[in-house]
Formats: sequence, C-alpha cells, structure tokens
Amino acid sequence: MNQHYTKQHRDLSSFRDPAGYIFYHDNEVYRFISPDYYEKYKNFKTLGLYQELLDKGYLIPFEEIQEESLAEGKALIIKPSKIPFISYPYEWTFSQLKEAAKLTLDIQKIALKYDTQLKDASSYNIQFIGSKPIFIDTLSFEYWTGDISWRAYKQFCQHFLAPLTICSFCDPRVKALFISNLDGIPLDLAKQLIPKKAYLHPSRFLHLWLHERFQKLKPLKQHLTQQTLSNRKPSSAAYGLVESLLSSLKHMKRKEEKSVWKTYYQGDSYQEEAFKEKKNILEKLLSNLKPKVLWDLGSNEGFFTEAISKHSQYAVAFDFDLTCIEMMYNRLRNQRNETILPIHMDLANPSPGIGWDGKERKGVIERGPCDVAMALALIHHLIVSSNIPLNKLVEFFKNICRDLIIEYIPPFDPKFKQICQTNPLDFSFFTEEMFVEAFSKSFVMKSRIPISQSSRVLYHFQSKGDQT
Amino acid sequence: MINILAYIDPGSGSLIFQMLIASLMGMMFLFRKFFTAPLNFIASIFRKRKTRRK
Repeated sequence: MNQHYTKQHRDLSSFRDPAGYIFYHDNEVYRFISPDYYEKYKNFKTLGLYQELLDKGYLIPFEEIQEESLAEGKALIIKPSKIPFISYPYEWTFSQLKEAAKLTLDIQKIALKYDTQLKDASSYNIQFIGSKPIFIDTLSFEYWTGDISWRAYKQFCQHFLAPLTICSFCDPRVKALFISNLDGIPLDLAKQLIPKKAYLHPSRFLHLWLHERFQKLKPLKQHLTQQTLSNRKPSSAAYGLVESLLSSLKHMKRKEEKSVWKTYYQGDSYQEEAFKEKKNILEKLLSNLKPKVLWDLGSNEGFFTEAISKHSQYAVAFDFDLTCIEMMYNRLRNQRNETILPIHMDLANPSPGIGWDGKERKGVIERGPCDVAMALALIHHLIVSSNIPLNKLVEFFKNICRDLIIEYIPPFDPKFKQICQTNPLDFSFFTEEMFVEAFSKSFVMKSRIPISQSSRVLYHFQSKGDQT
Repeated sequence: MINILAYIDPGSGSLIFQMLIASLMGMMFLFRKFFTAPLNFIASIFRKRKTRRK
C-alpha cells in the first residue's frame, strides 16, 4: 500500500534546483525527484553511476520509496540516510574544506566516465559524518553537454580553490567570508587577499589569477542560449581540468597561527588524576543518559569528547580555537572516526541563519536541540572574556539541550584568576549558590559531583520541560 | 537533443576561459596518461619484486 507523504515540510534550503527538493515526514528526511529529472535519474542509475559512487562511499546511501504519477509525468521519492548534524563550510577547518574539495573532484572524475558531470560544485553539497566527507545531493548530476566546459568550474573555484588558497597563504580565519558570500568567495576578492607567492604553482596561477581576468568579460549570446545541446563524450580536456584542479590542492597546507589553547592540557591545568576522575564521572552520567546526539561545547582538542564518545551515538565538538579543531579533525581522520564531528565556532558569536529569508543555512540553535550538551571548563570564559550575564547563558543552554552537564569553576580557581587578569570587573560574586540558583530557573538539578583535588564541581541539569 | 537543468550561472567568462585552456588541459591529461601511467606501472613491478624478496 502506498503511503501518503505530505511534502509540506519542505527543507528551507532546498528550493533552487528544479530537479527536486528535500522534505521531512515523521521526523525522517526524503527527497522528491520531480518529473523534470525523473528520466535522468533512471538513466544515471541504469548506467551505474550511482552504484559506483555508493560503492566507494562517496554518495549518501538512499532507498527508493515511492513512485508517483503526476500530471507532468512520473516522479519519485527517495529516502537518503539522515545526517546527524548539518555543518557548513564557514564552520569547517582547512583540512575539512580540503577533504570536501577532493571529494567533489573525485566525484566529477567518476561522473565524466559516465558521460555526465556535476552540474554544481557547491561546498554545501558536502556534509561530514564524523571525519568522513559525503556528497549529499543525489540530483547534482547532469549529462555532459556538447561543449568542452564544466559548468560548475567557476563555482568550484569560488567554493573550494579560492578559500583554500587564502587559508593556506593568508589566514585560515578568512573562511568566515563564506557567511557574507553565499556562493563562495568571489574570485576578484580572493585575488586581493592571495599573496603573489601562491601563484608560483602553475595550476593556481591558471585557475585563480588568470581565470579571474576573464570574469569581466561580457556574456556572449551563444553562452546564454546553451540550453539544448547534443550529448557527447567528455574530451580529454575535461579530465585534464579535474586533474589540474586536483594538483592545485596537492601540497597545500594550512597556514599555522598562534594558539593559546592547544597547550591547555599541558602544564598545571589538569592533573592526570583529576582528568581521569572527570572522565569516569562523565562516563557514568552518559551511560545512564545514552544520548543520540551529544554536543561538547568548548571541546578544545576533544580529548574528553573522544574518551566518552562510546556512550553517545554521535558527538559534535565545538571550539573557537581553529588550531585545536584542526588538530582534532586530523587525528579523527587518521582514525577514520565516523561518530565525532569537530566544528569551529565561537559560542559567544554562534553561526547565524544566512541565505534567503535568513533560513537557507540554519543557525546553530535551529540545528538543535541536542540530547545532551556538555560544557566543561567553559562557562567562566563566556562570563569573563565575553561578558555574558549568567541568566543569558542559562537561556542559551535551555534552547540547545535536554540534559546539561556543566562544570562550575569558582572565582578562586587558578584558571579563573588567570583569565580575570585582563578584565577590570570583580567576579567574586560568581558563587556556587548563585550558579545553582540561576540554572534552577530553567533546569532541575539531577546531580552534583565535586571533583576531588580541585575546587571544581560537575553538575547534571535537566531541562524543566523534559523531566523524566 | 537533451534538456539541461542547469540552475547555476556558469559565468560566461569562466566558460570562455575553459575553452581557451582546453587544449592545454587536454595535452596535460594525455601526457600524464601516456607517460606517467607506464612509468608508474614499471615502478610498481619493481616495488612488487622488492616486497617479494623481503
């Protein structure tokens, strides 16, 4: 019996491509393939394109759910696997963006074998499952047209090559430009930021510097009317272009920047015993909570996230230190970890909703709530360094999680004192009583566990609306 | 004839640029294919021999 799928809950980012769209039904993700694309989808499937991509683990697995006969022709609903946490390029590190770029080119290389091409090369088509990048847009394939050009070439340069070159030769923080430029970093802007030495590599000179010189050309009529073209085999130039783009990524390394936090676990901050004890407490708490999705806020290099990740199905580690997140990602990638996703984010300035209507790319709060949020050695940074009032912090945590595991650090703690040195305000008011009172307005205290050999205390709070 | 469902702007400058560099890209690809591949093949044979000896 055919189930009726209401397609009203359409994903707010899925509206540009006429080939289909994403919608939600009973908390599951579905993709509607429109009659415009139905025949192509079937053809690409028969050719074996999808199977090769699935076998290689490049494309998100999906199953066909239901065919529909509409007035315009046949349509199809497919059900792709659910991504535990959607992330965006402005939240990735250099290595994450580079992996996403390599995957896009590898997919284009395979697509060419089947006389097809990627019709877009947007970085938003890639998502991460832990450290593994995966291509999510099943409908991104198109026949290779009669000309010799890859239609998504410019988009690839704007979404991958330009930002990676800037991050490699200028500053990795420049990736934040993705927030103000929805379709990647414009080549003319990139050119102003990229130092000349980056162009010593012939591929980068070609695809960025020389390519940018051609951007000012006015459109020729023949290029605007290329809507119907005969299907042809891609020439060696098409393969050569992909190889050349791949070579421009080779040996590109992230520019090192100073990081205070990558040495956080060294020195006097964490005695080994206290570290172990904290880990045991967390394991005990999480084994009872069994979260599907855990957010570790202020994860640093993610040692705690990794230590306790077996108790959650999926963990997202957030930190505002790019170096720490980069190191964490590289470590997890070497382990082929698919359950922990490191994300670069400043919690005092979390990712906003961007794009059309401010909803096309969701803000981080809209991507929640998570089952359990963990905030270890974090709250004093937000209170002291970012001057966030305690009641606002409580409100933030209330919006993002069901259960909260939070570490209270008193003002006389050496680390608290250290960050207070540059702040003229007196923070001695931040007592444990005040902390508990503030959180009790929105949460119920489930447990209080002092960490021996330190003045710190771990608290487990549960949101008042989710009491069990 | 086929219908192309292209919804992104490929950029006319980018299309013209690709056409201009097409022969270069093609030559580079063919060079790699016909020179690098046999060299890699020979290298792989030597590598196999070495591992066998070990």
